[in-house]
Amino acid sequence: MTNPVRNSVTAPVTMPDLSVQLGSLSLKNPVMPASGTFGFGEEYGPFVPLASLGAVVTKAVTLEPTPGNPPPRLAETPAGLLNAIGLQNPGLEVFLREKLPWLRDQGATVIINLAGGTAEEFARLVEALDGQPGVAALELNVSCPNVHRGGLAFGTDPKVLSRLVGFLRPRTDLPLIVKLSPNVSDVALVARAAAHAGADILSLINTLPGMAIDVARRRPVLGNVSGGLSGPAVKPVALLQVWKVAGAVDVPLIGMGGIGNAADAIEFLLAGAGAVAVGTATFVNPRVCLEIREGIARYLSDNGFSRVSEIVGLARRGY
Amino acid sequence: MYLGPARILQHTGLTPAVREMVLEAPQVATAAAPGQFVHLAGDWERDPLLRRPFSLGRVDRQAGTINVFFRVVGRGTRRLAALNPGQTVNLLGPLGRGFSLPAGEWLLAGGGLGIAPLLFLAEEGRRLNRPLTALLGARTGAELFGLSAFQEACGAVRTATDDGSAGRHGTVADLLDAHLEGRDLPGPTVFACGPKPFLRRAAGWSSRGLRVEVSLEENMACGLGACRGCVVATPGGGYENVCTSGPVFPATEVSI
Repeated sequence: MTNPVRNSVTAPVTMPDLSVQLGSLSLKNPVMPASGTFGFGEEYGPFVPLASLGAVVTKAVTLEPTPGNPPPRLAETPAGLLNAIGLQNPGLEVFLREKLPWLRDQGATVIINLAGGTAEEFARLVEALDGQPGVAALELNVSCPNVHRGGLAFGTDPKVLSRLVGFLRPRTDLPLIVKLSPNVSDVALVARAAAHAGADILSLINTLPGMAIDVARRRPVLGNVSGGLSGPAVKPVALLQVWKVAGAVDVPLIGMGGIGNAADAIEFLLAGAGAVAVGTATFVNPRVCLEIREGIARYLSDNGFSRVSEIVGLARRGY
Repeated sequence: MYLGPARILQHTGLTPAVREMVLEAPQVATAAAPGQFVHLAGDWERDPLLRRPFSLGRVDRQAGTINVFFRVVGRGTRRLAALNPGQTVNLLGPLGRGFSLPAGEWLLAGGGLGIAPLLFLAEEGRRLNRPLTALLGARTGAELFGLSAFQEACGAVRTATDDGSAGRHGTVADLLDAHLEGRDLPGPTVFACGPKPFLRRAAGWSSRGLRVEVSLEENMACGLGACRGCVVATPGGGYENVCTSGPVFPATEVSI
């Protein structure tokens, strides 16, 4: 991975250009937190200047306040984490009044994750956020495994998803990101349906459903029984899904699933993602997004690349 | 809030079951309050995956050190137990809301590892000249720790063990009930930390007019309030984060 030219004293040191363009969405760099792992940004403000991230992707916002699932909500598994939070959030009104203005003041590029139980709820959320200053894009959460209405039901059937995206598309000029579920037999099929219906960007993967049992109590660990698996354990699954979707659609992708360091992130870029999101790893290292950004910059300059887009999909040559 | 390495200065098996680790962490020692916690990780990268929360057991502001106490219960604590003085852990903290430090008499009641945060509280109480009583319980006498420190700080220290090998044969909950039964109001402020059944019994004294504060444990991921993973139900419906709204709560504000 070392480039001999870089060690030469005469070689000009040029910082690679980290900015990326995902359709109409411009990002300062390709690294952002994954929805649900970064709250509304406030909790990580002391560790990370939010404006230095590619974007801040908020926790899912629902129309009404959502209390979430009964605890325990977390179970650690080998190199993984099961969560069953259940979209706990204060609802649209509080988000607009308290959370969004604060995020805007930080100078962050804000992507808002939206979760609706019905198409109408999604529409009301989209319409409420359209035209709000300081919103860069909307991400539709059609893949949460931990809620009993909406969520996954929208994201697993190509026809249902296509109808939902088509229904929401005319309601905003903001870029629409559709977050795909890995819990389908053919992710390319679902991706194509979302793209044809007007999704500007696809993000993937959401968590994989799983469970853990406490052998001492002889009961499921999670209050919700099942949860979504994230962390290093899911990375190979996520990477293959990004690879497949990148070969199936022309819209830009945000790749995620178990990214913990720059090498992980670069794998997703090489597989065809134009940007990456980091989730569970932030819980361990609140500054990991910045470290990954620096690692990507080093990789680009060490290998003679001048911008991120030059490596997007590079591993696909010949396939 | 500090995020970074902390050197292990001492690491001892305090009793056959309880380990004590002294960490060099001047920024944490200066800022810490009794009842708060630190979130630790070793240099393992993926397994165990997450940090592990530990209540602040003792804090020496002059020396810039903090002590954490733990029992080996899983992969994380097994890895921590293998670390030696001179090695470092990665530390995030101090985190959470600690005990209120009210005027008047304090009654400290801790079971098992729940004794740990009460050590820091006892030392703070002594500094503030509060009349202190400590009630301490463990499975066996060998698992009771910090007794001499409690004896220095508190006017009275009572112990109980499940097997009767030290102090009263019974639990810290029995000690608490025996201590409070028949006392006139206003009684002491009760600070309780330990297993949930004990905390439930301690919380019961709230309805008798006492202020009871409980320190809770829950599986945690971020420790910062972002992930909403470590919640406790509240009597009015809904949930509060244990990591940021707690880990110490007035007993009337949580459904344990």
